[in-house]
Amino acid sequence: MTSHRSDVRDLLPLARATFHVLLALQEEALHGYAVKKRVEALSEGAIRMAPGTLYETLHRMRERGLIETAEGSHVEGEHPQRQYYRMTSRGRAALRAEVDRLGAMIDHARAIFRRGET
Amino acid sequence: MTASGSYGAGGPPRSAGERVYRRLLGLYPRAFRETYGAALIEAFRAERAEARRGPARAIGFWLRITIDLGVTAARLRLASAIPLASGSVWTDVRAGARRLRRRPGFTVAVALTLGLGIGSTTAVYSVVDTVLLRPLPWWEPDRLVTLWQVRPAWRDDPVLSEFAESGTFGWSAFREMQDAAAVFSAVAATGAPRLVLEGEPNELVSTLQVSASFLPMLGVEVAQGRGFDRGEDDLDTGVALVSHEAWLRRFGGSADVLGRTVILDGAPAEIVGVLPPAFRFGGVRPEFVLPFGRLSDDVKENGGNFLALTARLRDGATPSDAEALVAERVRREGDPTRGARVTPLPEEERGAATRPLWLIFIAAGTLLLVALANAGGLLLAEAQRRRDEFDLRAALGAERSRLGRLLVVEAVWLGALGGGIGLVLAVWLAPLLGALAPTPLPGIDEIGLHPRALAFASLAALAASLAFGAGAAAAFLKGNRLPSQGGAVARVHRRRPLSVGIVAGQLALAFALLVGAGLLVDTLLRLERHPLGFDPDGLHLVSVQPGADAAGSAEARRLLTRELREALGGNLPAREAAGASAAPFGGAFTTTRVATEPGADRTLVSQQVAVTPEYFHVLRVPVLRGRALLADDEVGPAVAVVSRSFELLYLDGNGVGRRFVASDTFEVVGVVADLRHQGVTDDPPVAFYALAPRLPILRVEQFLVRAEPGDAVAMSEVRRVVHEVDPDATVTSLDTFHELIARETAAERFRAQLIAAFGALALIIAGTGLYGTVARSVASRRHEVGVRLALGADGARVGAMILRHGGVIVAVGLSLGTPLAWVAVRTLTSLLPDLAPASAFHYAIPALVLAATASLATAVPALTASRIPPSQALRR
Repeated sequence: MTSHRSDVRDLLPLARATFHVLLALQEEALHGYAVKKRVEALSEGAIRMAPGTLYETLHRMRERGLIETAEGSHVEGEHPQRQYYRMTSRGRAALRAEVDRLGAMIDHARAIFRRGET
Repeated sequence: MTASGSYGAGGPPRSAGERVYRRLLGLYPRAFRETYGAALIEAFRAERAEARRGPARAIGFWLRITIDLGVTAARLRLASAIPLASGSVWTDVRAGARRLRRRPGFTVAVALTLGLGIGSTTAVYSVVDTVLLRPLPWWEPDRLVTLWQVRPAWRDDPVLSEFAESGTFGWSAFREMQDAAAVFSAVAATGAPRLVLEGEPNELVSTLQVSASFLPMLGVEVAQGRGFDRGEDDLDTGVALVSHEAWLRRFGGSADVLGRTVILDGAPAEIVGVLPPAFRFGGVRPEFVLPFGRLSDDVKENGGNFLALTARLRDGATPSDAEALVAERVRREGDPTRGARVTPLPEEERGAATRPLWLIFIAAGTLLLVALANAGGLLLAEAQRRRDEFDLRAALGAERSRLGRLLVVEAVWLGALGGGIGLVLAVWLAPLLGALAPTPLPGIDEIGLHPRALAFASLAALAASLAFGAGAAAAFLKGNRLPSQGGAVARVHRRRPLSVGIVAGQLALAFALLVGAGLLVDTLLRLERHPLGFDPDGLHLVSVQPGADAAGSAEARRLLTRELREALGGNLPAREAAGASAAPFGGAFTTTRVATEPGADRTLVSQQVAVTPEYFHVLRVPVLRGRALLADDEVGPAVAVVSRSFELLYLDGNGVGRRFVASDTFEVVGVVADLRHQGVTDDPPVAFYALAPRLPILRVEQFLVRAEPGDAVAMSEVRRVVHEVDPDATVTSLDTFHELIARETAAERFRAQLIAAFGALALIIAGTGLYGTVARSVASRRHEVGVRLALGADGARVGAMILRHGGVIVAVGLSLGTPLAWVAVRTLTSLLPDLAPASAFHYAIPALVLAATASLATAVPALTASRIPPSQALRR
């Protein structure tokens, strides 16, 4: 997996929308509009993706191998044409790398704050 | 399929708003629309359902939706048109930089190669741009013409042919041209005398003598003070203009320069104006500009054709109108065969610089091509090397287009790096080129990196990086899509025709450049070895301008000459000196009519030189027949020594004892071997030499001083001894003959050295390219070589196999290069008529040089291959 690791490093830092879509897809595959809703919920309404932005983001993430379509996994009773998206292992690696990066940054910032307080 | 209607999102009947949205979806690229159309409409409906509350919110909703759609559609369309423009550009750019940092060797090699090519081309381009392409700093320079008179009768004359096509004019002709208002809106006369500026010590300075119409005609305005008015063409008001540079240097840029007085050739001149910076005309950068009022009416009327005429064509008048007018005027002087020549002034100004400059530019361009090919080869090899890595990434889900894009980004990075290095190189190189250029190129002071040169460099860098970046990406994308083929065994026999072709191309270009350079070097060597007719070793040329008092009468001049000669020769240990009115390379030769038979109607012209008796001895010119001149020849019947050419052409090859008439009737007492007077390549002069008192119109102001070879005569020493003889005299120049000869061949040397340098660089670049290719081939054949060695082949045979591989590349390069070189030679010959004729020798030597370099480049990898331990090679 080492090559995977160094590979996703080229993608960092992730765009805000990309990061939130990956967060939204962490637990289950979702269809497009559900992704949008989950992102809104996760960001507490801060990120509201209009339709074009939503699908452009999903399109690019597919291109980069961060997510893929999950065919035939649609829930009974829902619209049959709905496309579901789920995170790939590469997407998971990218998310993890980004979280690590952010975590390191936050740790660093906190250390500075603490030094400022004492 | 229309934009609206078929995205298939079912549900409630369509509203007007939704129909608009469906239509707008047509802005997206088709593939995107087809994949996401239905989902977009569904999202639109949901958004709308949430937003539909009140008219103000509706407006906000539509604004948001349309901006969102417009921006994303534009981004997606750009991304599909240009892979680079997509949103992840910065990611790619950063990733590219990181990858290059991880491979410093490769990065430095490519960037340096590119930088070298771009730098030298940009430097040469900035010279070409400044000298040839930029308009001259005059008002409508295309309307300015130079006027010449043409004398066909002089064309075959051994002496006068030099002036046959470019005769100047007299004062009355100038005045008449000024009245020809139908053709010319302005006519100006100029002369460019070098005058002695009085000071501590006196100095010889460049001046320009101009008619009052001169500056207005060019459209040049003085920076301070005033120009000349028309009255100052005739009346001596004792005024002068000073150049911007002389103002800074001699007057410290002082504000009160106007009104200050300088003494030029003994006459005071008050400074009334300062010229704009970098003023130049006719190859002269005058320190002072003087009006013609300084000259007496006698000089103007009887001074002959001493004026160069320049004119501005009136609107509607053509150069041929001007030519007809001038021809009519010169014929009226009595010779119906005379004609006129009218050339555009810009052409005249740039003239001599044009061809060599283009030549150098072509050579630099060839070097750039070699550098590009080399960098391209390196990139290609790198792409091939990384195939496995890329295959793996592709297998793990990376889009191939994105991987290709990475290669392009890297190439652009390398191009930018190379461009940066090139720029630094050009900043340093361009002024150097300008300074090294032998003929004072017009505008040389302004050479630097102008926006156009910068644009040229960036363009070269961009074109380079995009070209081979795209090439490398294409080569990669075309490659196998099956990752399983990337194994080492499958690669053993993979041929690399493209990289071999690239290296062969470099070798071919380098060969052509070397052949051209060789030809130029040979031309230079021939020039330098050209027999001069005298011995230049240890010989110095001293020019002295005597003070006005000391040179008053003929007798005073005679005494002065003798004293100066004795001072320069006799007072110094181991020195010999001789005086002459015109020494070789002194540039002061005059001609006169001679008649060898009384009443002969054939007009003969010869150079005449007044000398002191030691002249031929100091020059080491052999006396072929008869005797040299003696001190006793100052009295008694007039005698002369003639050159071998004079004897052959005018005296039927048998001169001693014959007589000829010039300013006096001379008896020929000796014949000396021909010696070059004006330059290395000039025809041997037709000349006669007599002692100074016998040619009273000539002044002996040049002295030849011979010292021991290697013993340089110092200026301070010369000044001191001259000052002792004549305190008012000015030593205007002191040069060794080697310096004079070097100056004479400077243009040839400059272009030969420059192009040889380009050729050498191209050879080195191509050599490293060859080395790289062969070394890579050895590396990839390691396994195969191991097998061969294990099966009993000896190291020598394996080495020979690798050498053969290199040999094939060189052979391809040479067979491509030979026609290229032939074209190069043809181009050179057409641009430089005085080129040494090309022979097989000129092809053979560069071919040998190339082969030697190639053997060196191939020998190292071959040696490596022959020493591969089979056990190790097979283990992989």
